[in-house]
Amino acid sequence: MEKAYAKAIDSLLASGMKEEEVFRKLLAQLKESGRMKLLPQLLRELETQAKRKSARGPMLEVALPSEAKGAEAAAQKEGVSAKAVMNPDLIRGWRLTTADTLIDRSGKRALIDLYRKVTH
Amino acid sequence: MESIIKRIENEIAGFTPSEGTERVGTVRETGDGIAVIDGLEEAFMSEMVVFDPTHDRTLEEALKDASVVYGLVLNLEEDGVRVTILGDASRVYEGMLVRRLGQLLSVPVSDAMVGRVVNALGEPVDGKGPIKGTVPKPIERQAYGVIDRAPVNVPIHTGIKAIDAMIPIGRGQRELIIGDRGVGKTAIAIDTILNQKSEPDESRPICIYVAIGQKESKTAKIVAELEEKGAMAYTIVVTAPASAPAALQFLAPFAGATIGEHFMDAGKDALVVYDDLSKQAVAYRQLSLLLRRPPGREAYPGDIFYLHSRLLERAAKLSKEKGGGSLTALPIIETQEGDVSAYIPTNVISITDGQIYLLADLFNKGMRPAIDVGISVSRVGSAAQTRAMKKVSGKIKLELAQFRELEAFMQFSSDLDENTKKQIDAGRRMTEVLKQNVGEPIPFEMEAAIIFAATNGYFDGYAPEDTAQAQRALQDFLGREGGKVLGKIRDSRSIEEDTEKELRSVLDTFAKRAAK
Repeated sequence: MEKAYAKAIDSLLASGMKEEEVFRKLLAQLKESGRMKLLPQLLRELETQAKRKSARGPMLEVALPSEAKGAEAAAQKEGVSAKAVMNPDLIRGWRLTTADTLIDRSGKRALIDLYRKVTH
Repeated sequence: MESIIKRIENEIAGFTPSEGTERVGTVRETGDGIAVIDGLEEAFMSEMVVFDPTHDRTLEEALKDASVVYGLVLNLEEDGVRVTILGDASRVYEGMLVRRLGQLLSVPVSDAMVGRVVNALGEPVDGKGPIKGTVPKPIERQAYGVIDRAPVNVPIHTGIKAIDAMIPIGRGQRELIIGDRGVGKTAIAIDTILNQKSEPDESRPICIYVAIGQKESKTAKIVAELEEKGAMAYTIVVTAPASAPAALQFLAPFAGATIGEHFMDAGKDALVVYDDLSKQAVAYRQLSLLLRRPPGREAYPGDIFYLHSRLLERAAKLSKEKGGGSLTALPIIETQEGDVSAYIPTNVISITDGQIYLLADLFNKGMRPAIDVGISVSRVGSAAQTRAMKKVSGKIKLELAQFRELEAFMQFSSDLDENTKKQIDAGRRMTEVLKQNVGEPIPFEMEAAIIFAATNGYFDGYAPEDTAQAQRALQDFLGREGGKVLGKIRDSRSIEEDTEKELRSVLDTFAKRAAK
């Protein structure tokens, strides 16, 4: 049930309704239908969704600090503006992850692909 | 050693790292072999995805197990997609990166698959190494249309007298084998595969046995039997055992059909046995319920009929323009307490071109194969019979049906006239002649000769209970001394006047010797 409410809130906000109005209408609806006990669950669901959304935001990782500028410029070319963060696991190069795309120009990925090609 | 080093060096030298943008998603939740994925917004139905465990690990950790897990998109939803995991589901975790492959689920197929045992994804599981020269082919394909098809008129001999004489199966036909558990359904399918050994090389079909939800011990036994009798030389076994994920059990018949189509498209004949579709339906029901699709009758999803019809429609006899190949399907359905009016049996009965119905009662009475001649039918009929078989088996079905009626009537009356008694004895003798041991299919020319003998009174001198023994003796005799006439029947596929004379003379010799 809380998922349905969270989805409804999401679509109302997306339609341009103000947050205060959404909240007011939500409370009125919950009271009317006797579902006020649902509030804590609804809160948890909204927090989870917010966390998921932020996790799916663009993330630019670089292996070395010297590669940050180049990576940011490359990301910009792809239409994503993001600040590079360090990830030495990449060995070399950079990696840009957005909600549904991945551009991986890292040494780690190249080595894993090569390993798979040779061993399979 | 040096050549290996050189090959690796060449691979490294020729390696180009992946470029471009990949479409990815993240696992939101997973359980029971199903994963819910965020992202993958442009994914399409039946698309393959890979769960990549290396994305968020260090190189050292990643190389310990760099293998990926494949998944299949089965539900497209408003806020993500639901994917069934085609492998070790325990390796999939929340937050894992999922990559789209942009291709429909495919299985690798090749001529080199013959003689091999593969899983539902076409990967070899017989420990004989990789299969060479494979080409990926989509597992789901639209069946051939009317224009591309030719009428079914070439027989596929099962080597079982009762079937070849009364319920003939044609190349490109779909003939259901239906019955309770333990009544010999698989035995008929396996005998049919074994019997293809007696076919000439050029017309011998490639056989594909698809084991769905079977015990691995049973599949291993079947493979051993096929190997022992030399049938693996033209057979491929696709296995999705009871221990395999439901997704693989649901996909295995489609993989079998895809492999069969590979040979059909090359102008060859193929025979595919789906053992059994009841278990596939159960696996699909499990998958559908986990995917939260609305349940229908007996909790099966609404598209359960379409699941089987689209699979079985792929069986076809192609026109000359399309190469003239064929794919014959022998689906198997297990009934409960002989109930053929249950949901899945009625579905598959209505889809197929006939059914061989096996009765537990007949099986327990010692009638093997336990075929109920009355309810069994082949809708292709005598069009899929050789002239020889058509000639000898013309009236058997009618006579047997009359005999069964009289036999039932006999239970209420002990005082029978001479004519009725004769008819009953003839029916009993024919029933005995049609009995056959499991694993002993016989070539069609031998079948034709034995049935000719039975319908022309050569067993009339025997008591019904001795007929089976006499029939075996005749079979041995024909094997020893009837080679010439059998060869003529085999080559001409008919019994012409002179062949008939010759056959009668051989049978007379047998009768004389038996009388001594």
